[in-house]
Amino acid sequence: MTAEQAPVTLTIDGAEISVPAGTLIIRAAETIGKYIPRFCDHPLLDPLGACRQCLVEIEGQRKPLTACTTPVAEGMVVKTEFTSELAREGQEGVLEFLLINHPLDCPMCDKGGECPLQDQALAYGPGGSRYIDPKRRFTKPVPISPLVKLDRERCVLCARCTRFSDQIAGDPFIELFERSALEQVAIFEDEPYDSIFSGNVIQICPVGALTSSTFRFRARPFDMAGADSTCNRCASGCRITVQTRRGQLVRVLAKDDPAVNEEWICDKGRFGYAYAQSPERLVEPLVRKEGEFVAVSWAEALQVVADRIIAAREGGTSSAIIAGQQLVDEDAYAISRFARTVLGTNDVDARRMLGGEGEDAVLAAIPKSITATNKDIDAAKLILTVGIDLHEESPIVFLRVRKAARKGVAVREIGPRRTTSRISGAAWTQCRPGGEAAVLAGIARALEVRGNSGLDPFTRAAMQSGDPGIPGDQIEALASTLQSAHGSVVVLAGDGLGSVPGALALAWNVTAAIGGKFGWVPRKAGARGALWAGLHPALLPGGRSAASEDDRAAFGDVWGIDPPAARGRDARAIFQNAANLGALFLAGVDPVADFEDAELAARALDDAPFVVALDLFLTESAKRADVVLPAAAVYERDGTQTNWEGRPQPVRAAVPPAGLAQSDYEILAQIADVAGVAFPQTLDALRKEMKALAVTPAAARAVTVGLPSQPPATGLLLATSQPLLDEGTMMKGADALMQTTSPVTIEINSADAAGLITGETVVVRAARSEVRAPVRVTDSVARGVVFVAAHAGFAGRNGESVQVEKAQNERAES
Amino acid sequence: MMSTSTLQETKVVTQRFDVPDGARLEGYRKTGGYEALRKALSMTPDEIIDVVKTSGLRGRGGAGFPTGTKWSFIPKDKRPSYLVCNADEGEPGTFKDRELMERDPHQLIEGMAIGAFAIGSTEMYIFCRGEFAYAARQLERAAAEAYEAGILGRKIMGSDHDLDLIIHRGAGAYICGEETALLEAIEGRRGQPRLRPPFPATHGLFAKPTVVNNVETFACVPHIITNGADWFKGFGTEKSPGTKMFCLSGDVERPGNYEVPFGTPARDLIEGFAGGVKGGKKLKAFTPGGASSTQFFGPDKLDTNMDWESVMAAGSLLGTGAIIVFAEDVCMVRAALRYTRFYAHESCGKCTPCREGTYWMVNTLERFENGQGREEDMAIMNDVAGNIMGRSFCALGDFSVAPVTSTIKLFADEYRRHIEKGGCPFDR
Amino acid sequence: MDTPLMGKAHDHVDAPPLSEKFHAEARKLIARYPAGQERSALLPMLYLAQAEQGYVSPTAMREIGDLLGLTRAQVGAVSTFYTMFKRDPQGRWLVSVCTHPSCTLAGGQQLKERLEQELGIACGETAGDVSLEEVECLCACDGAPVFSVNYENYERMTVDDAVALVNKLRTGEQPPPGARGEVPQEFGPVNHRLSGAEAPR
Repeated sequence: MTAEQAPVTLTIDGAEISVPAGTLIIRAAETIGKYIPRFCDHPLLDPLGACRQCLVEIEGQRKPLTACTTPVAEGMVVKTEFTSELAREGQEGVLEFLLINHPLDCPMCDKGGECPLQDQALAYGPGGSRYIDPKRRFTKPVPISPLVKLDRERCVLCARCTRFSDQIAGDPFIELFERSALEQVAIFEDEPYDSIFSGNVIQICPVGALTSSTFRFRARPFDMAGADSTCNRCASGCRITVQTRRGQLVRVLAKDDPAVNEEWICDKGRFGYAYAQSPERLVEPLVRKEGEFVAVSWAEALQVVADRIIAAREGGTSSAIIAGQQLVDEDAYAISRFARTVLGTNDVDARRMLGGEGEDAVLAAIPKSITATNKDIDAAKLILTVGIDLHEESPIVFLRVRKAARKGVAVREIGPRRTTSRISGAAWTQCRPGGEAAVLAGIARALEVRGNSGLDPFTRAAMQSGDPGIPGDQIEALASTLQSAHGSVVVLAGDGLGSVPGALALAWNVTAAIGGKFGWVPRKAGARGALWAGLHPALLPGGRSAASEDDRAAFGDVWGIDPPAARGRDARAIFQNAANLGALFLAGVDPVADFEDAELAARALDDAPFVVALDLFLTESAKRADVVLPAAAVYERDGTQTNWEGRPQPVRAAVPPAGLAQSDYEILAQIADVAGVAFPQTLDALRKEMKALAVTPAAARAVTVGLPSQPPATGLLLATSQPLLDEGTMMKGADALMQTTSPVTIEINSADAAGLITGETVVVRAARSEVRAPVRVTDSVARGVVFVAAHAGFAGRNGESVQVEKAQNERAES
Repeated sequence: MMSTSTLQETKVVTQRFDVPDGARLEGYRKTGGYEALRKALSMTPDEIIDVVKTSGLRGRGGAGFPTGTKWSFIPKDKRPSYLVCNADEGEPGTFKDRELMERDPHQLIEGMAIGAFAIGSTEMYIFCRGEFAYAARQLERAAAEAYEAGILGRKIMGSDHDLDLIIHRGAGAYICGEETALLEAIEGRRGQPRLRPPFPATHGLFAKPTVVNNVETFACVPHIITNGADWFKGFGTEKSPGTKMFCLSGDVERPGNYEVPFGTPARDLIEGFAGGVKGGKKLKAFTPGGASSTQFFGPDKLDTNMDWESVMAAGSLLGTGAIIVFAEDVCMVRAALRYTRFYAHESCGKCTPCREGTYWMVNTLERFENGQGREEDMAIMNDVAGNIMGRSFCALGDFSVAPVTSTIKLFADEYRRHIEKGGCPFDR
Repeated sequence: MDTPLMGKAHDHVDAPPLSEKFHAEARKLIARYPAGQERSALLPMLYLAQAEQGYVSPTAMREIGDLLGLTRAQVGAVSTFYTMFKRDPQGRWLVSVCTHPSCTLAGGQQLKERLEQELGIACGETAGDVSLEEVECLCACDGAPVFSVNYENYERMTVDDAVALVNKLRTGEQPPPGARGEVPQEFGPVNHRLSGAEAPR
């Protein structure tokens, strides 16, 4: 135990306690259940000492001190308002002050019933006010964004919101303006509170100054029921509380989980729940009869599907499943098991980005290996992100990395676009899309030269290929930084890296070589669960390989049969083979909207003789199905969701399923049952199997690297990725949230701008698509790259050559 | 300023005020200027700090903290260190720093340079109040002369020491006279005081070790170096050594700065140097240390010796030594209102007691002036003051209560006359 | 409806982009400070913008934010804290009157009221070439009553003489030398000086 950690003994209200040195008095008091009233204090924000509410008496000090800024000292004697007149008067005095200008809005204020000012005024206040003069008035409420409303009269100037925005989120678009009694939270007139974390300030505001435009006047806290669940809008895995009033979803709050999301969630998770109760939800099974969808009973729908499966099996035609990446773990496992044991096929895939076999090696390793966790991020000396925009793809992981950087952890980024400018001290090494593998190979070479003998033969082979096109000193610098943080490195890679041949495996291997921890951070909440479940043509549950006899044998006891040995078709091949399929299942996926080759998907769905879609909505893909089965939304059922760290977390139903909807696993279990195939029918039964198939993760080992390819040398290449707030199906009904999506932007490096200036409308022409929007000339995009923030309708591919030109007429449309 | 009193000032820091060209380098040098710096450059930093410590020099900005001790807090192993001059004079009734900068700017530069050398700093800042246009021009002229003459810049005066001076302007905020708020302003932020610890000595400007001292404090330093600690202790009292510029203003015949040894009775300053209450009226009240004196004094306190310990024993604070005099026909409620409006306007807004409490007191005092005061308001204001005092984030809150509490204590009858009359019973 | 407190709400009048000269001088100001401390140039740059445009305009706040890597809210938070940064265009001459007791006992309050009457405006407003404001202690109390024109003090004047001086300013005349013998420059050049762009370092 270091001197820093050696405990300090002190007395609070006569009770002697021991806490680690450096603990603030206010936290120390909490360990013995003593709550000292406070407004500006928050355990996750730097101490401020502004509100003065937490005044306590400390023996030997002539003035009361603030408990939130004073660390404990050996032998300190602290008296709170329980035992000290001075502290009590101090606290009452502050509350009286806060209430002289605070409006009597309680009857119409959203915060009423869960308001720290109300609660603390009642418990610690003087009971009445002597103030008779006019109160401060402000125009109210003022929308500071489509989601957040500000009421300056109610504000107690605790600065939690401005400190959160500055310290935690890195989005200082709200600040304290003016001074003295005019001091107020404000935005700059044409710069709204544009932050994907904006909803958090509503939750931490201790009064009703910041309120949610979607929750305004909706419910009192005591009128609501709630379920503690886990968000499914990305793979961060935030814990949430889903609240309902009379069966209506009315609010989602962040739930405190220090290991995952601390006390934060992003606006997508907070405000994007409306889709679940949209009037467009599928509420009953549909079967196509004479070209038209007809609503039928579950019994009839299940029979139709089961009959088809039996017919296919008897006729020797194979079937296939394409699954989405937002399924809960049990549903994903059920789909994988259904494919192998009911359909008898390995033709199952849940990936949108179709990587190559190089990606397979890493994906297979992930469920079986020890991978990075949030704790590793906290403790790292260096964090390297490759092929990922954390802010858009996994916001709460972004916050974690930002927090680490504030404490001095070095952050490095490799990619075609700088996404870490809000992370202090982060340095960016630019590369063209597709060039990440070459950069990693260059780093591997440099590491070897530096005497890092940890590299494997596969990586050594890949190292020989060409020059990454990046200045050697930058590669050197990265390698040097990695080497000097040996043993304390976290490498975070996203979905995008998997589509670059060789890159994912190189990143994995380099990480292992420097004793680091690898974090695969997929965009979608169900991706890691899908991986474990084996929603992949070559993988079986638990990261087992279909090609391995030993691995297949593990299933004999649990499933009663061995899974097929031959590698299945991936999604593209499934689509290409669609006309030959007995049945094609779509489970929680909309390939016509989401897949890279949307035309292929649409044609395939039209060509496939029999398509079954399990979904929440009648999407473009579902419209092409023969049977559409209504699935339950995540708020409507129990389950487990495994986040990017591999941490399984509970999902709990807050409302019953819409109409006749059922969970995916229930639907498949019932189909199997009708088809006469034994299949686990309950969550418990599924979980029992999953537990039996569990694999204890071991230390990560190097994998095979496919040969990295070289990107084309000349011309502008496209880098494209979706922003967090897209126009996807699950944004339905979230009108206020939709107003905060950014318009499409196009970014180009000043070296390539050829006379274009920021703000001009340009057209970017890709092979199958074009987009028109205002351009931003910036050095945050690599040379030779055009970046497009993709929205629905733009089918550009990362790494393809594009042309950019000024739009002929100035009509700006996205 | 023509003085017809028989009392003589003890002119140490003001000795050059009447020297023509005293503000220019040539005039400064002719009167011994920069010899102290030359001497200091041949001493060690520890020796300099020792002399200043032994001299007992206390900060002249209001807090009275021992200067040598403050300089000794700077760690020797953390660099760079910064020397900052607090020239943001804003305390009502105080005008000594302004005059020092206007009439003897080189003295300030020399005192700072000695201090910079003592704390191993090569960069000095003067944070000069934005409204001090002429004073700043004088400083800029002097700084230009000093650079030209090799007194600032690289290897100053033939030594190995580099020294730069940046004159950074305030922008209209009294709170920036608080040293950590001052540092915030230099760093381009709102001028709100910082949490302490850590203290500026270890985490000051740009999070580096920093000394912040007042103009008058630095002005004393060259004289201490030249003449020695014992010489300085020869003036004033044991706990308050040296001389002090006292600022006399308000209802006096001859307002102005008067430099006298500490311990000089208030009567000498008010009736002697400043010629007594204007128009021969009677004295009603005076402040020993500006509006922020925790307690105003009545005529019974005229024989108080003006030094820190005596003023404290008499129930108030010496502060900046700004003596504001009020004649018998001044409305003390109106004066309290104006000062409280000042504090309410200058409150930075960070902490609840000061921000809300000053707002409350202003409203109440306005009601009195408008004839709507109530008897119970006096007890309430005293209580409100008690909830601000010692509870606020910085001393501005503490000081803001002084005009209210001391006028209620000494002039409760005036408050009552407002109630009876239904308005202000005074003309001024 | 917003509570005023010796201040004035925004007029939200916007201005054209700042000049090349501004940008060149701004870069020099930034260079005064250590690496990583560029934000220290914020107050000086606000003065520099005010020198060019007569106030701190929303445009200026945007451009300064971009130069320093600050959001506009961060710039606004600072510019609205300090009283010397003005929210709307000032006249050539800013007349500031102290009304603290030392000055008021010598006529300060009376001067303020007379000037408001003569100019036909309230403190915080502008009439032609003259802007008027009521200020806190200017720390020149020995010269009571004190008022300043573009921060150049005029001391110990009678109320009548002071009013006459300000009236002359309205008719386009130059002000006489102030209490220290120097003539104030116009609002623009005075702010330029305040920025530190003319300081030796």
